[in-house]
Amino acid sequence: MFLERPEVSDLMKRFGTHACLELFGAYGVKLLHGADDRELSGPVFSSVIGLVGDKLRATCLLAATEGPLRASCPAGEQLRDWTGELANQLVGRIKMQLFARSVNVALSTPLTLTSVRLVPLPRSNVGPIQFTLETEPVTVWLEVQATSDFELGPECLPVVSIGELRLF
Amino acid sequence: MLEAANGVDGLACAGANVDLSLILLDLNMPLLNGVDMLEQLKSDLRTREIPVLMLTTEAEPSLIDRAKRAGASGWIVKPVKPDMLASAAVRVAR
Repeated sequence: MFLERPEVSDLMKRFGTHACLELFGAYGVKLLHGADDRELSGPVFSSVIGLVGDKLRATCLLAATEGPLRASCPAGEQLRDWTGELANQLVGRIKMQLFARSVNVALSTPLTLTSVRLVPLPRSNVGPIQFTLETEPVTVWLEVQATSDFELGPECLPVVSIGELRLF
Repeated sequence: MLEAANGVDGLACAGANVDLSLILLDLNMPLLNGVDMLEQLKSDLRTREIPVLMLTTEAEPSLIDRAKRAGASGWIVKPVKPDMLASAAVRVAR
C-alpha cells in the first residue's frame, strides 16, 4: 500500500533540488534556490512525468516562465518542446540518484502544457521546490508516495555518468 | 537530417531511408521506446546496418546491456557536449 511519507518526500525534494540546479547549470544557467512563493503567471510552460516503481511512485512537474527556458534552450528549439526535454532530463537525473541507491523506477513520457497561471496545491506539507533566474521563477513539484517498507540502499557509482559516452 | 517525434514514426522513417549514416535514438519516447525501436531496427534486414547511438537521460545497466546486445553502437547520457557528439558520430557513422 502506497502512503505519503514526509521523510521520503523530503528525500525526493533533495534529489529534485540537486537535479534541477545541475541540469540548468549544464546549459549555462545558474538558478538561485529559494522560497519564492509567488504563483507562476504567464505564459507558463510546464511538463509532467510519472515515476513508478515497486515501492515508490511520484509525479514530477517542471514549470517555468519564458526567461529561464529561453536562457537554457539550444538555438532552434521550440520552448514548449524544450520544456518537455528539460523535464525528461530532470527526472532522468532523479532516476539515476534513486538507481544508485538500488531503487528502480520506470518513467512515463512527458506531457507538456502551456498556461496563463499555475498555482501548485500540495497534498502534503512538502511543497514545491522554488528557484529563480533573476526575477523569473522555476518550480519543480514532486508528489511522492512510498510503501511502508521503502528504503534506500547504499550509494553505488553509476555505470555511465551524466554527459558520458560509452561506445560498444 | 531527418527527425521523428516518436518511436513508431522513427521506425517508419528509417525504413523509408535505409541509406541513413547514423541514428541518434532517445529512450523515453511516446508509442515505442528507444530500446524496443532499436531491437526492431536491428531485426529488419533493410535497417540493421544503420549505426545507432542511444542518446538518453537514463543509465540503467539492464537497458544499456539490452541496447548493446541488440546492436547499438554506443550509449550517451544527456546532456552531451556538441564536440563529444560530433566525435562519436564520426567514429560510428557509416
